[in-house]
Amino acid sequence: MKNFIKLVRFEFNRVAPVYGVLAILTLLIQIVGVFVTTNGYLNSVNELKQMGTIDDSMITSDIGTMGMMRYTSTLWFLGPITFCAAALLIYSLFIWYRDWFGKNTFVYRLLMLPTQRLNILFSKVTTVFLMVIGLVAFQLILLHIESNLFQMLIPKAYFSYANINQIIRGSYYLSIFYPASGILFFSRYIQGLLGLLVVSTAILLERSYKIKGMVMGGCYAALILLLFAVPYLLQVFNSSYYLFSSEIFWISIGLTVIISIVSILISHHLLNKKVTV
Amino acid sequence: MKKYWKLIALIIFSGISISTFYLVTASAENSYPQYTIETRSGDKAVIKDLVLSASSYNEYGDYYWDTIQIDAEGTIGSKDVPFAEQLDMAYQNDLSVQKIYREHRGFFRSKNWDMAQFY
Repeated sequence: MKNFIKLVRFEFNRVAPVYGVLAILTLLIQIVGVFVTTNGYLNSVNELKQMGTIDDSMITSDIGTMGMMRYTSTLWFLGPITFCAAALLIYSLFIWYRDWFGKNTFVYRLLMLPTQRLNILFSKVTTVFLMVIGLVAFQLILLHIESNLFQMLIPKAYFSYANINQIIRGSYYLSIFYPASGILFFSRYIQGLLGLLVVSTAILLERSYKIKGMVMGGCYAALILLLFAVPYLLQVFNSSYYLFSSEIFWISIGLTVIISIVSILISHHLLNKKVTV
Repeated sequence: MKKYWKLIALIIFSGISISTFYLVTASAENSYPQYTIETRSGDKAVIKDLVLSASSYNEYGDYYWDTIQIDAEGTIGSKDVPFAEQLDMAYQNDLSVQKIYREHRGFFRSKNWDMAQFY
């Protein structure tokens, strides 16, 4: 356990500067976006006023009101989120390959550490997972900040208020990151953790058997995707609701547990017996 | 300990931010309007089994808020019911119908859940 925590610390500290930049970039772009969007909106309000539309309700019926609900679908808002998501996806692969292809094959030292080799896997997966959770938490704070900024910048007549919950439910992408209840949040991110585990197992397969392993890893990941799709495919093939959504939920929880165990067992075997430097 | 501050800061920050959202913000903001059936005259027992299923929207009508059920007792929102029933509301928001299909799962499997086709 102690070794695991030390490894997580090591892994996180090594990516922390880049991670910090990612968070600050998100903050800057989204905040600048608020000002730019507000400016653009107020400009078009002024234009309308100069053209002779004095009535506020006429203006809002023409160009709509402004607020977070509208901002969350702009590139200023979604761009940084997409960028961070892509960066973390790439890093979930890079966190492994940097040890093999970096200077003086660092993985050699990692594998020589006097600890369970499985800890290397767990520490890498945990690091990426914590990075995801951290950004998801950071975005929540940003939502509060941006919401308040809009409230300050836009005159009351043109402002449409939405609370945080409404902002999230009103946006397709945000509802994915923040499901409706705590239990759903938990189950969704545990499944994300499983995804990271499966990716790591696939990478270890590739590292152990090279080209052949790459195919095996791909097949393994595809098989798991298929398993998770089975409950939904049953719905489609039966042309009606074969399973209730609560049943699908429990099935996917069960699948998550089983596949985690299988993934860990495979990775354990590969790390101890097959992996090459 | 000093080496760990980044990691600890990240974990504490995430924990506070997300748990505040789910424990405080979401539950406080997720309140729905309370409707009651008022008895002006007549026998109250007649509407004992009456349930009005409704959906609430925000004031602009563009944001779907919650499914609510109004009966003689008052208003039930989706957050008031157990978790499994909350999930099944995606297909069937009438709790009395949900109760029937929990008791007769085999019969309801692969059936359309539109109650109009049963009665």
